[in-house]
Amino acid sequence: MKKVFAIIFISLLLLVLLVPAAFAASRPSWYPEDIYTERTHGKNLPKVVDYADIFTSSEEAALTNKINEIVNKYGYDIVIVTDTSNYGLGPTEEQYAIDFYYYNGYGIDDEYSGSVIYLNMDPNNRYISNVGTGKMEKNYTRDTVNKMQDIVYPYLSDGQYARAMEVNLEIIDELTATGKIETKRTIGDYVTYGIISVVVGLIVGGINVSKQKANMNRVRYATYANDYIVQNSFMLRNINEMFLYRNVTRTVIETQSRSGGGSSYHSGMSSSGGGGSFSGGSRHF
Amino acid sequence: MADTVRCPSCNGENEAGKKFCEFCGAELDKKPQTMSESERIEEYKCPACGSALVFNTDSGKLKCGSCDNEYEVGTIKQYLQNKTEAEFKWDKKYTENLNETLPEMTVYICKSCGGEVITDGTTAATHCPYCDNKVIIMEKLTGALKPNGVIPFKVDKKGIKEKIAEFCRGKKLLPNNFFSQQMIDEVQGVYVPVWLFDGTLDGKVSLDGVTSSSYTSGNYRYTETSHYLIECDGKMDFRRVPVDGSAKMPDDLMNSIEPYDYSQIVPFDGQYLSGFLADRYDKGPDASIPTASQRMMNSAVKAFANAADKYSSATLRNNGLSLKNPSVKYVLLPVYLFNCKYGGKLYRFAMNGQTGKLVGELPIDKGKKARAFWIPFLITALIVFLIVFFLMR
Repeated sequence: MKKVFAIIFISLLLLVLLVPAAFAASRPSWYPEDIYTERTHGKNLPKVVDYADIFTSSEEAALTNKINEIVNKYGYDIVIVTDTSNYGLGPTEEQYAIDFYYYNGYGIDDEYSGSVIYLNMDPNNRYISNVGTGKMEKNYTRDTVNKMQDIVYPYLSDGQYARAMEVNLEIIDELTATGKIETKRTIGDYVTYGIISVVVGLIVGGINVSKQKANMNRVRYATYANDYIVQNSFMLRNINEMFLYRNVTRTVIETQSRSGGGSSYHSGMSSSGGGGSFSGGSRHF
Repeated sequence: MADTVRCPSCNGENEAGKKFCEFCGAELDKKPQTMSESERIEEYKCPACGSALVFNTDSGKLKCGSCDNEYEVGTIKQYLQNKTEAEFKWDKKYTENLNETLPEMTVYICKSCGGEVITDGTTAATHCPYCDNKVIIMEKLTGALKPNGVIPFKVDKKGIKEKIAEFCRGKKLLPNNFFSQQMIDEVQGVYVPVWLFDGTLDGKVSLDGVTSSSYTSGNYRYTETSHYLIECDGKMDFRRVPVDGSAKMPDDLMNSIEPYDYSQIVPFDGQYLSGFLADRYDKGPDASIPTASQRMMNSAVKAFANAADKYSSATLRNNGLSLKNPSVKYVLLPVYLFNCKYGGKLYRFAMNGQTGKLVGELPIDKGKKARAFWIPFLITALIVFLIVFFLMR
């Protein structure tokens, strides 16, 4: 009997000890034990945190320099964080970025203003999150986040992560300065505009000439004698309708989908601890 | 396999030796019709998929082994009737109105195109109205068929000018001053010989009718198409369907200046030829019948198809119409003919001498054509470029 009690006691003890450990393992290393901890400004925080190990040390240094340059110019914080999992943080895909910024104490001014770029490198769920907070929150509208990710997406899908971050920082620089993103046009864009314009012009010009040409010749052979039917002479003595067969075809109704993988936008998100307000969106690559 | 007897009424298969059909009760032929397996398979094809139909003794219908559609025997027999051509048999009596001949007339023969025009002896033809050739020979003609009637010219020279101006309005590619005053002065009035056919189309028309509807359920859109055999029985009368009897007069031009108001036909008198030419027919009524019949037939079939208006489409399957009570009259219709050369090409125009309706292919000015293309092209391209430039940022 004593043995049975001993086994039950040991089992309970292990349960008490191991469950929190397992819970702790399902959260990032920086995640606080008490999520209601008061928010404070962090000190000497790294600007590039590469848990997924996708940057070389020189890339990390270059990105850090660029971030510092922008941060010094405007006084708003910026951090790039990568990880191999988002640890199920939710409810939205941006929650990792929000929590990382919030709980690590990023943000220089009183409102903790700044931008977070998060790369989730989980092979089954790769995505980028761009989030703004404090005074930067208003700049992260649906439109600007979409434009930002439209520009960065080709680099990410091509595996040029450092270049993607470099471009993303340039966009944040512009967004912070002007509050909007001016898409820079390339020669290819102008060629595309030109081709579209010429094609539409050719169609309109061609239709106009065809219409005018058709107006130049109204000579036609007569194939009917409708003008010569004696009025009210048409007599339908009988009409007999017989059903033969029926065909039923089924087609799938297409639903619209965005190119470039799943994209979502969330506004007015809060950190788990409360108090912070964030805005941003994610896109898979 | 035992021999079978096919019921003449419902087409059902019965065992040989039976006197009455087990499906419909009709009397079977005394001499049994034996059918081999291949005959049964060959005989009826499914209208939906073309596979062989087999008689289903349980349902008493013909069933397709491929698509599972089932058909009433009577329906399928009617549907698979051999397509028949419309009857164009005209009673020879239809030409009984054509018997009088004209007194001696003057005829001018064009040495270029062979066209023959008749005058009353007081009018001289100086050029061929069809090809504009100046070499034209005068001869005397006797025994020409006298027309039953004529519609006199109503439009005068002033009217011609107004109708030309009206015709040119809105023709943006027309070369400037294409219709010169000299050309208007030289316009030649010609009476064109025309056969006017009367008749009644009577009989049955079979149509393939289709109705379709669609609905959505879940993530699918369903389109249901039902096919019907429509049999129409009726008749339609036609009066004065015209076919020109001149091989030189282009049929499309003559068709395009229709219609004439035939209530203004007056009995033929040589005085109407004064100042005008009259073309001598070279296509008799027999040669013109197919054209008239086809026009009547097309209109009748269209009327039957319109009667089956609940169908989204009704197309002709079997035409069993025949022409009854046909007759023909020979009349002269007034036409002004113009011939204009532009860019080395001869352009022909015809004007209805009664209503003034003018038709003909107009030449195209290359400069105006280029402008009609490039101006809209440049404006559109510029506007589209600006729209794209500002929208795709």
